[in-house]
Amino acid sequence: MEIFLQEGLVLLKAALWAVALSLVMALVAGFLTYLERKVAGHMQARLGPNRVGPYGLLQFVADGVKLFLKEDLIPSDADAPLFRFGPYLVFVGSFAVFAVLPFGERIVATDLNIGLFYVLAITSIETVGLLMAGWASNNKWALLGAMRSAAQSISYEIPVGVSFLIPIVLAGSMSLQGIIHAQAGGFGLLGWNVFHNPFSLAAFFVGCTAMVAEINRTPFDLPEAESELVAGYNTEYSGMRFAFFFLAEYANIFVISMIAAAIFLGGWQLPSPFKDILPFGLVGSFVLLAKAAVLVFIVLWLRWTLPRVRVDQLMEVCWKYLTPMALVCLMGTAVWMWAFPGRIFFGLFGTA
Amino acid sequence: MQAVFFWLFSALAVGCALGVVFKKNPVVSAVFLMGSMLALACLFLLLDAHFIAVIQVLVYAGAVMVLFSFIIMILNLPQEELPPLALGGTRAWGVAFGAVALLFLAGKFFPTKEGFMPTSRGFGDVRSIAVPLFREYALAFELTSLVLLVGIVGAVLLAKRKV
Amino acid sequence: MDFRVGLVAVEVALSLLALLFILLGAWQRPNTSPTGAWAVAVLALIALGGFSLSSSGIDGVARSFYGLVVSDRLGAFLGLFSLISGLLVLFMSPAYLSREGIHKAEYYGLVFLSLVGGFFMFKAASLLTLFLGLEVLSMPLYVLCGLKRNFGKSPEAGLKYFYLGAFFSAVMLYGISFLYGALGTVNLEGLAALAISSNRHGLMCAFGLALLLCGLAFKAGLAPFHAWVPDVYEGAPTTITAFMATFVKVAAFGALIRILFSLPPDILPVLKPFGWLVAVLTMFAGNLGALYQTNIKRLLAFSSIAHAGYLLVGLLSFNALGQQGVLYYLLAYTFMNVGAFAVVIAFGQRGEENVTLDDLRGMGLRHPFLGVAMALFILSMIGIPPTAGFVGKYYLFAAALSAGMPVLAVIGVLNSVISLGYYLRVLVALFMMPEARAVIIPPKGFGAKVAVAACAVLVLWFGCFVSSPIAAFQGAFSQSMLQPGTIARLP
Repeated sequence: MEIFLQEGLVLLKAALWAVALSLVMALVAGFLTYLERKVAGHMQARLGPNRVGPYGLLQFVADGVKLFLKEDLIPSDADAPLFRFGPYLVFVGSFAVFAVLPFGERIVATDLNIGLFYVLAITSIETVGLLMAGWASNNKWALLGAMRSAAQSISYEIPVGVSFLIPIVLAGSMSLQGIIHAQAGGFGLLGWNVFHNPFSLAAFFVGCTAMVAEINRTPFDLPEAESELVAGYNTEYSGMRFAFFFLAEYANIFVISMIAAAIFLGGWQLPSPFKDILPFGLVGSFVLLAKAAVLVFIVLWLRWTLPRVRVDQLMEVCWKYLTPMALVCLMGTAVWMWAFPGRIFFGLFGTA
Repeated sequence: MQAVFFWLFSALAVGCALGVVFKKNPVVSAVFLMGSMLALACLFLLLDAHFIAVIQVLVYAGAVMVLFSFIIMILNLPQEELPPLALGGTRAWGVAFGAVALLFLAGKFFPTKEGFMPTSRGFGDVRSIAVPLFREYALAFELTSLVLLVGIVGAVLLAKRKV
Repeated sequence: MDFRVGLVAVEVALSLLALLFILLGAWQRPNTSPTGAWAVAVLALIALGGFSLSSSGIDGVARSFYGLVVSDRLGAFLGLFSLISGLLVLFMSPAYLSREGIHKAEYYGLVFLSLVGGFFMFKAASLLTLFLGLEVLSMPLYVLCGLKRNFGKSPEAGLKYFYLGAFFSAVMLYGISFLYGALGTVNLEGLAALAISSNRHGLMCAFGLALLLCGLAFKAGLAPFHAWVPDVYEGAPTTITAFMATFVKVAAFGALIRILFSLPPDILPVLKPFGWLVAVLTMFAGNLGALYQTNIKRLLAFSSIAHAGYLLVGLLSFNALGQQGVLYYLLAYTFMNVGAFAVVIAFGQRGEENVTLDDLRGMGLRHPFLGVAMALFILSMIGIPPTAGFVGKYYLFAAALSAGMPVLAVIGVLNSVISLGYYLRVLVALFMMPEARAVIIPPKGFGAKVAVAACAVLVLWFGCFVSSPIAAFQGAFSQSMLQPGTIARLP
């Protein structure tokens, strides 16, 4: 009996986390769609959405309602089961990452000991979903978009994975909580992995570039290049199924920003005397989210500033530049740890 | 609860594997194969082998299956017109070999007079895989990397129009 | 820590060399032939051969890498044979490759990597090393077979070899996994636990061992699994055919020796009848098949199947005579086969013209050096004194007699007689027929001629001076891991 109770509690906890995280995901992704349009507007000397709610803040709710009410259309020549299943897989791949995202010290659904690796693995499922959706649409634009997406994601997984290895090597752990804990010290600022040594600094940029490419954002958004492919893999989708793609896409921006903030920018570490005074590490959560917000803004900024690259350039950037650079960074970090065990770059000069 | 999940994922894995064999559309087969891989990964999770589980997802579901489907889609194979469940020729061989494997495995694992061995401390974490891989089997690891290197070089050499 | 890199110095050097050549290929300008690279390759192989020769004198058995690798005299000798085969092939490569328009630096890199794989097979103390070595050996060959992309048969050969090779690798791995399941180890010494008297998992072991041996039999081109040989040998670039015919045979038989001699004694009587059958089938398949061939490459392919059968006869006798005979025959076989293929290359033309028996008509008189050399190799393959082939065959069949298998020996001799049927046709075409074509293109390729000359001299040399290599081979077996006493002496 007691066992059943215990297991019931475990299940209940999991269910509660799932509900909470799905709410977070929906809200964040929705808000990001609003933010993107707002940022785009201001960059183009427009106002962006401003009708629904104060400052147009409720625009995404309106969009959501609209998408809910739209007709769910399946092309007659499409492979219906796969067509239906594709968006779910994309959504699951994106949502499952939230299970290990640290929202603060100890504020995490489950702190897997292979956390970062899990992120890498579970996001790769999205590619399968995209491919499935693109193929099942029975539309050449969709198929081309899906193909590009698959090639791109698989290629860029390599620099992403290798640059992930650098924080892992530095922390000696794959758990995201562990990696953030390992970045303490150096007055809460110099201990960040990005400041640890020159190689980890480079790895930060390599990793961020590759991650932007892996989630198919501009300037690497060839899978949905409007000028060539109409809308890429989601050309045939409408209504709720389209909303799933949309949701996953914007959730991914948040996810990569959170991950980068956690593993390179010190997570909740901050040069601040107040951190330990306030309860529940709430300040830490706020710091982490603020760091992520800055990165999110940069991702949005890139989209409205940079033109799209060509397919061959895309592959060249990955295989000829990012991958070798990431490998050099990894080896450099390893050599650093061997040459200066336990020392950070700025620690070489002072006593920190 | 573990038992419930075990039977759930086992059924899923076996069901998907059957789907791979009996579906005629190669793309659908590939999707089922991926489902089978994912279910296997979940079984590994239940065994506390987290690292293997993630590898299973990353390598098989994430990379290998994507490339499989990629190629199937490029080739755009027509639906195979095979008579379902005809047992003859190569299939008979396949069934025979599968049956032999099943028999041996069953013989190996069902009579558990000694019971199952308890797992050692730190079982399934990264260290317990990394240390043997880079110590006892370092040479085998490097040899494998040579095989992969040849695969890459060979593919370029044979497939690229102008080398 | 158990990393004695010194034991695998040759392999490491070869691998680095291979990487160097592959990199060189990346920067090589199109339509330039890497002649300098070829020179480097030859020099490096000669140096490695010298090193391996000097280190094959070391006494005793050493192992490293946590029991994955063993270094003993047997491995050293087999490695030396491989290096010789590789060196001779390299000599004839540049001219041939330029002629076919496939002169690429990667070619050398892949040949080296294949050699590395073979070396690890010879030094395998574990089925894991054996299997990985086999893969490192095979993968480059799949690529090399299909290298002549513009000639239809070459990609076909590459693809056939690849599919079948991958399939049999899987079969072998399946077998190894059964052995592991039953024995709990993949060490070769662990195979001693296969003894019927003390084995709890008899059926599982038998299944595993059978699959493992099937995989190796495929690589060696033994009878039920020999069908790929003619097609692949015909389609592959001739230099690679020569390399496969010699080096891969050495590697496969090396692995067979390692495994068969690691088995417990009471399992051998069970295995012998199967081996007997395979040997007889192989000899007949090779010799009868060769009778109908008009393409010289296919003819040599069938003859190589037959030779694998003779080798198996020696292996099955499980006595000292047979062990020496197998090694001696492998050496002789390397020289005569590489030499024969070198002659084929010298007579050939772009796109593999000139490789049928008709094309060879009268060429022996027109080009006496190549003709006489070819005659010598053919005589050696038939087994006529004073050639190395005769000595090798003598030892093999004598071993079968002394092991109480007179029928097998008789069948072997009978097959040698059958083989006269097609070997003599080559000689007749070369020397006793009028020339086939009006315009004679003089055979080109200095390197191929060097290889021919070297092979001819060595075939004669090993046909006349037998005792010292035989003594050395005797030592190879007595100072290897395979001897029961050595296992106890291991560090």
